[in-house]
Amino acid sequence: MDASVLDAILAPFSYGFMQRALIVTLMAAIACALLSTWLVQMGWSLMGDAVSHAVLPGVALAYILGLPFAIGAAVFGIGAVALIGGVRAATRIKADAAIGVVFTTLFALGLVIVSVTPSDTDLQHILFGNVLGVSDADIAQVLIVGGVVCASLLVLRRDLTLVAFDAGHAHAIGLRPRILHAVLLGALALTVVTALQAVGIILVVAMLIIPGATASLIAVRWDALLAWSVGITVVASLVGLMGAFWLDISPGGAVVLTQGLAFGLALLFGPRRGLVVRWARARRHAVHRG
Amino acid sequence: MSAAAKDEGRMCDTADHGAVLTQGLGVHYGEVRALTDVTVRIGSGEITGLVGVNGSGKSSMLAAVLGRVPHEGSVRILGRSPKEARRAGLVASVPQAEAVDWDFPVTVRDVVTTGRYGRMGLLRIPRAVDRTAVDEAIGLLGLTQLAGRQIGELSGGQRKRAFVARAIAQDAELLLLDEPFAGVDRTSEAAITDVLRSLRDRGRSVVIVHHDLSGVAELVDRVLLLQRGRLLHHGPPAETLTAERIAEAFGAGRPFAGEPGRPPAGEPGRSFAGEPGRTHPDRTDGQS
Repeated sequence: MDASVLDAILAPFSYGFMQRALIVTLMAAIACALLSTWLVQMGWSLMGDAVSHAVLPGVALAYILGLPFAIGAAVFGIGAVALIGGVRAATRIKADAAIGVVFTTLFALGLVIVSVTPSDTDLQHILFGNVLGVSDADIAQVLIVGGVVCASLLVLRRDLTLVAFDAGHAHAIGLRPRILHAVLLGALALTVVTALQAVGIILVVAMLIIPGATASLIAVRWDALLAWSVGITVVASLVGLMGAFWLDISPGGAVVLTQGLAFGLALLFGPRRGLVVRWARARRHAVHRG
Repeated sequence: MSAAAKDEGRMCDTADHGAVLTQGLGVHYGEVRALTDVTVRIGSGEITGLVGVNGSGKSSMLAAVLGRVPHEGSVRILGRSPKEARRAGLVASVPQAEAVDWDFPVTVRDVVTTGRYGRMGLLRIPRAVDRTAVDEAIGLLGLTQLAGRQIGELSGGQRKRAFVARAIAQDAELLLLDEPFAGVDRTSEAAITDVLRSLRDRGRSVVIVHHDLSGVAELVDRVLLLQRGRLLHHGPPAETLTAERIAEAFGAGRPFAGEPGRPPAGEPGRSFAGEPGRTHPDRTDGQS
């Protein structure tokens, strides 16, 4: 590669704030990417949406009380999951409606709590991320929480995948699907905390869904699915942050937009059922017939 | 479970207990009763057909035996509590085709390997003995050429064979199969039937859920006939399947739907029936 091109690519990361942004974004993005593979395959994408919004009151209360965001987010994230289960058990409301009621109500509660706290610049940071202004404490928190989440998911990945594929068999051989589901939801709540710093509550949802969905258009084996999901998100994070630097646009927005573009590319060119591949097959069949 | 009992493990004498012993087994979903007061002893070393129309309680009984749904009454599997039996890897389950996400990114070999998970460490890394068992099970069901394919690329019958191979790799004492012959071509049906018979001959117990009577009498040693959630009769096919009881269990319907040994028309997965070895025409990757 031409040296000047490489310099241009690396130049943004010679700044301290960009290095910090890169560390936080990559850690959060990788945790999200791993988790997204299971969420997407299990049809739990909406759960990612729900938990990411439901943590807002927890984060706001943690801010007021001077506690780590992770604690407030974990309490409200897991509480939201329990509440969704409770609403479904107590009523005949369908899953999507129960999820919708619980997470929007909790999100609204978060907005109300934030509105009565003195500083409202932090609301912007929670909603949209503040990756260019992270403190050392933020970085430490993201690395510890993200590291724990990634390590747990990787250690349990075969069991989690089995539960996602055939919970009945998992149960029959003595695994406990409920506990593994709880592990996933706990990891989800913690992952949302790490990603708040990078892209904010609203775009966390994208990072929790797009990498896994994109990888599923490409990979036919689980380990490949994990690798593609993480690979896509790492590239998207780098490209997005550079785009943000050079074009002076929102870093969170740029990262997610890049992920969205990657999904579009996989949709067109993916080997499993990409539009181009399907078009080529249809053409080949037509030629054979005609 | 005591340490001594754990050591005894899989070698315990199961003949005295029967494969499955239920007492007053009942299942209800809210107001709806699915299974009522079933007391039965399913013998070990036998193939038992769990037969009845849709809604007769077959699936509920299977789920209760596996401990998947809350139930009344008691279940013993090979003389143990269901939980102990599951932890000891004694029970293998083969799901209905409808219960599986065929688009899931796993290969045939991946699926069969999960049969060995109970014997692996936390990370579920297969050892040489696990890989050998997986290869043998895949070979036994004639899937060696397809082992590297994504599971959904297989025909209905090949998919079922993959799940039977998983149970074989698990080396379980008791196999519970939910509709193993639905949407299955003749080659696969014969392969599965052969494997089940040889398991029975080696003293393993097999329970097959079946929604009609086609092919049942030839394969099973005993029939457990269910009607509206109650046990109608349990015995050898010739004794249980009298014209009277068949009429009672199946009503005016057609218990012998289709030709003998064939799934009824319109069953999912039928499109590949009669074309053994054929896979999805669009797929060319994988190891073939």
